[in-house]
Amino acid sequence: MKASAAARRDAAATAPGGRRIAAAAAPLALLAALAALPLLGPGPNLIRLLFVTLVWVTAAVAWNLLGGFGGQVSFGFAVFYGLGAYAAAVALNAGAHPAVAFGAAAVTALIASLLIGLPAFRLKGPYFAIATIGVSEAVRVVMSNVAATGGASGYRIVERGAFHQLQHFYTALALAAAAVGASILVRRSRLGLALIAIREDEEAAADLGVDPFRTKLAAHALAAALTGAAGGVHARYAAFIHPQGDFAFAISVAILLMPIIGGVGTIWGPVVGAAVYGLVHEEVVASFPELHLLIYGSLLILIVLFEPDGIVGLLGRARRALVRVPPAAPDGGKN
Amino acid sequence: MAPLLEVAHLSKSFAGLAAVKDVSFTVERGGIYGLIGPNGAGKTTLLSLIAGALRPTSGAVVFEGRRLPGGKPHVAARAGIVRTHQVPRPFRTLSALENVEVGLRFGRARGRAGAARIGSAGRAAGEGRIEDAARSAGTARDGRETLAWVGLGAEAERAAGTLSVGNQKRLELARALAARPSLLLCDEVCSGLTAAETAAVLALLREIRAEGTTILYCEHNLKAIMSICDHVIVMNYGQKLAEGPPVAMQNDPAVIAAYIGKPAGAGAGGSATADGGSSRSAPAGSAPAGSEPGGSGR
Repeated sequence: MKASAAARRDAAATAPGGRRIAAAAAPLALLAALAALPLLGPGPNLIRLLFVTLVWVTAAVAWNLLGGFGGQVSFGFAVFYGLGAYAAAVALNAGAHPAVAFGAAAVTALIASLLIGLPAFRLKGPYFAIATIGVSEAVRVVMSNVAATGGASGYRIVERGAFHQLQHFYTALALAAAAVGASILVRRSRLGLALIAIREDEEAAADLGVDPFRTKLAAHALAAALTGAAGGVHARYAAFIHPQGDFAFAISVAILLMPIIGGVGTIWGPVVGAAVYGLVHEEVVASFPELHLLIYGSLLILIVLFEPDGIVGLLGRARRALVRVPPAAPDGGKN
Repeated sequence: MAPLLEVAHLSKSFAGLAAVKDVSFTVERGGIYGLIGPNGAGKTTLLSLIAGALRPTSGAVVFEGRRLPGGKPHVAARAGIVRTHQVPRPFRTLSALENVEVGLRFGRARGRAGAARIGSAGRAAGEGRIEDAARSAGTARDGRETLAWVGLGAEAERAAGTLSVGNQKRLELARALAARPSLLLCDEVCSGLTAAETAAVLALLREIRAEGTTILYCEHNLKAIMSICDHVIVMNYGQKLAEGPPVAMQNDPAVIAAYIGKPAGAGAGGSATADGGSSRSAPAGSAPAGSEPGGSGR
């Protein structure tokens, strides 16, 4: 099932003319629609919901670079999200321009990813995953005790000037678009090829000249930088951050869950997963705080059992059923 | 000029169990070297050591005069040692073409230089133009050429995981060749293939040799090896038993004893009488019977 799904993905990548243009136009149309949306004058609540969702999209797409393409499952992305939030917060309070603050967030997370990756990528499979949990919890505890940023009681961001919600919205939109763009480029690049080869068979990849350690380190760094920037963008909007929130294990789990729900290892899966998660989380959690965990739990079980390619895989299946294309022709490159 | 490959006193133990014991030999440029021995003789372990997949317990692998670091297969691959696996290990969700591209873009050729042709035989005419075309079309064309060369031209877009086992074996070879090795390590490329498929693969190996790639061919099947190799190294119980031209090996009493068993009373080690080109390095009787080290896997 997995192999045929890959063939389908390849089909999309190598599809001739019209299909390819359509495939490129749809995301651009979506981007344009989102950019134009504020002109219709939606309420601040909807803009806020979209803002949060776009932050999630960025983190989910970033995680997918390492976890989806490279198969290296990390439970520690809250480290990058949280460090990005704190780095941006400190920079903003020092009077830095927001762009500089977000840059600082990305760089801080990138450096952290190298410090974590250098030892952690000596480990493989589940051992790597477990190590990331340990690092994540350790960083949270440390940050809860750093007096300079208020320790466990949190840290407030004070900015001069008025609050412009749309400015935040467009920042998040630009970042999410950059993340998706990076994901598309990586998938087509030498790095992407190396990551997928490592996911499929690390030893065989190394036998052909792929350096697994450096490849993982590079993907980890790129993913961390994007996630850190996402944390920074969210922190500026929230104007208050605290370790139990920004470094929470729940953040790590959410960042990992979204690509899996949407379709791990695909370009659009993490986007769809984040959209679903963002909307469900924001809408449901307010009214039924316990219910949303139940929803994710059930969703996760269903996906792992029936559609490892996530919602994107499910949609592909539905579309093929509707247009009556013979299912999963083994030479998927043709039809 | 230094020999292509020098294996010096190479040993590998798994939890105290010696899979390869003090093996030394030299591989000169050109030719097909055979590596034979009964099951569990340590052939695959030896290949893994040469390919850098395993770190030797002691000894060294010296390639083109340079000592290779153990346990870093990508370094060996970039230096020009590429292996194929006994059981094919395709990147299942990638297409056959993308599998080959991994070799093209990460092996010795790495990217740009990879645009140089891989196969040569039938394409001597108009060479420059083909090369230029290949270069401008990027690695894809070259990947297709490589696939066509091993007979997988029609399967380029198929996910590697959906190929038949025979075709996965071809892909394994195509992928390794795309990395442009100067030393190709083949681990039982013919096992599980029909007679016709075996003949095709052996013909391919001859072609690869004709293009200047040296091959170290590890095989359980004596017939295949005797028909194609210029030089044979025989292993038993993790040690080198003998080496020499195939015919000499076929008639070597120690080799026969290792494969078929020795006649009662006649110690194989004692029968090391003069036989042409064979050079005995390990006393055949030295490995106690029944102490066969099991670790030939990775």
